[in-house]
Amino acid sequence: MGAHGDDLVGKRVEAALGARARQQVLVAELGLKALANDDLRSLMDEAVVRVARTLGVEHAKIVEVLPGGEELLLRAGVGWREGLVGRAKEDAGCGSQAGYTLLSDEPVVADDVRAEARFRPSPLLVEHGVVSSVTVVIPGHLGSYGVLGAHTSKRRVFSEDDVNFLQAVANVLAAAIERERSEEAVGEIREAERARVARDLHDGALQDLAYGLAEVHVAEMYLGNDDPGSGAAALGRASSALRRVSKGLRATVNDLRLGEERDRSLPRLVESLVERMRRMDPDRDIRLEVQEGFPSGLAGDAGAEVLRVVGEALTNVRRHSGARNVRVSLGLEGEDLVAEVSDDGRGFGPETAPGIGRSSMRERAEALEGILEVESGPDEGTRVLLRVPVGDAWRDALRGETGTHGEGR
Amino acid sequence: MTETGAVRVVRVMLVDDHADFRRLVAAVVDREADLEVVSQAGSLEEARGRIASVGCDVAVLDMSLPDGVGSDLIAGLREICPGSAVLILSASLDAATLARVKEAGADEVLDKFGNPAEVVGAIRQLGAG
Repeated sequence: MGAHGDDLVGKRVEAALGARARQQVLVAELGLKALANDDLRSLMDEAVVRVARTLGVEHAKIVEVLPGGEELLLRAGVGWREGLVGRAKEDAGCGSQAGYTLLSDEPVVADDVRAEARFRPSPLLVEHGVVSSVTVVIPGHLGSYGVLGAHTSKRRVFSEDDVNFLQAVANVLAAAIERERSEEAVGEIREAERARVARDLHDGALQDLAYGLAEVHVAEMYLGNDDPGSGAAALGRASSALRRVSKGLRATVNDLRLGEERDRSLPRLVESLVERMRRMDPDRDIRLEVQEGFPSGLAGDAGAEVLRVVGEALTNVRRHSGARNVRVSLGLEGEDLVAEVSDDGRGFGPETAPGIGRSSMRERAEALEGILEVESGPDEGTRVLLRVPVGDAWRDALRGETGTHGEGR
Repeated sequence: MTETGAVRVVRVMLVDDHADFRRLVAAVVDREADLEVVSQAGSLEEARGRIASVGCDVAVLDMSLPDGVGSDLIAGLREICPGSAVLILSASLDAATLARVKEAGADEVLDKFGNPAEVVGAIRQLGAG
C-alpha cells in the first residue's frame, strides 16, 4: 500500500475513532447527568435529542412498557409529529419493532422496516416514513422498562458501534429509572411504617394512658368520699396501666431502632413481637410455633425485614380480623425461610382492595427476593405466608457461624 | 326511659374495645341511682347486636374500635331507637375526627383523657333531653 493509500485508511480510521469517541463522551455525560439530576423526564428528553444528533437520524424515542404488558407508550421522543409524545402507543409483540425487541431481548437492527419478516412496523414508524431503524432494550430489575430506538427515513445500515452506543445510553437510562423506582418503593415502605407505628401508639399506649388517668380520677373521688380502700384499689389499677404504657412505649422505641433488631435472633424478635401483641390484645389467643432447630444466630437486615412483614400481618389481624385464634409460625423449608400468620377471623373477599399494609408486605418480600401469599375468603380467616430464599451468607449468620451480620439480599 | 319508683332511670350502652376502661366507666355510671348501664360491647358488630336486642337512651361510643369507628353506629342506632342520644369519647380530638363525628350526628363529644365524672354529667344531661 502506497503513501496515498495509507493516508486514506488513516483518515477513515480517524473518522471512525472520532465518531466512537464522541459517542463515548456522550454516554459519559449522560451518566453524569443521571447521577447529578433526579429528574428522570429531563434525562429522557436529553437522551433522545443527543441520540438523534449523534447518530445523525431524524427520529429517536423511548417507549415504556405499560402495566399489563400489552402496549408501549411513547414516553420521550424527538422528530415525531407534535402531540404524540406522552400519547402514542405501539403494540407489544410482533406488531412493532420495539415490541419485537422486548420479545427477543436483544438489539434489533432493521435496514428496511417495510421489508421486515420478523415484525410489522408500527403505525408510528409508517406515518413518519421510517426506513432504517435500530432498537435496544432498556433493562429493569423487575422486567424490562421499555425500548430506546433511533429511526431514519433514509436507507442506512447501522453499525455494531451504533448498536453498542445505543445500548450504553439505554443502560444509563435503566440505572436512573431503577434508582427512581427504588426511591419510590422505599418512600412507600416508610410511609406504611409510620402509619403502623402511629396506629400502634394510638391503639396501645394512648388507650392505656386514658384508662390509667380515668382510674386516678376515680381514686380521687373515692378518697374525697372517705373510702380509702376503694381509692387504693383504683390507684393500684392505675399504676399497672401505666406500667403497660411504659412497656408499650419502650417496645415502640425499639421498633423504631432497626439496629437493635439486627443484633438479636429472629425467633427472639418474633417472640417479643407476639408478646407485645398479646399485651395489646389480651382476649385473642396468639400461638407462636418456631420449628425445632431453627437457627438462633443473628437476624441481620433480612431478618429485620421478615419481622416487619410478620408485624404488619399481626397488625392487620388485630385491626380487621376479629379473630379469636392466631397462629404465627417460623421455619425452614429446604432453601427457604417460611414465616406464616394465620387467623380464624372474618377474612375478606377478592373485591377487597389491598391496603398500604399489604402492599408494603409485598414490597418487602420482593426486596428479599421472596414471595408473599395472602389467602382469604369471607368468614374463612386469613393466611399470610412469606417465603424467602436464604442465601449462604445469611444462613451462616442465622446459624451464628460468622461474627458478621447476615446479608440475605 | 323506664320508671322505677319516683326515679327515671337513663339506660346507657357503653361501646369500647378497651375492656378495663369500659368496666371502669360502667362502675362509675352504675353508682348513680338515676343511671344504669344496660349493655356493653367491644366492637361495632357486637354493638349492633346489643342495640337490636336491648336498645338504650344514651350510647357512649369510643371512636377507635377494631372493626371501624364509633360514629359509624349512629345512623343505625337512630333507626332502631329514634330518641336515643349519642356521646362520643375519643383519645384523639383532631379537627378531622371532630368534623366526622359532627357529620355523623353525635350529640356530644368528650376527650377520653377527661374526668369520668364529666362523662356521668354528660350522660345525665343527654338522658334528660
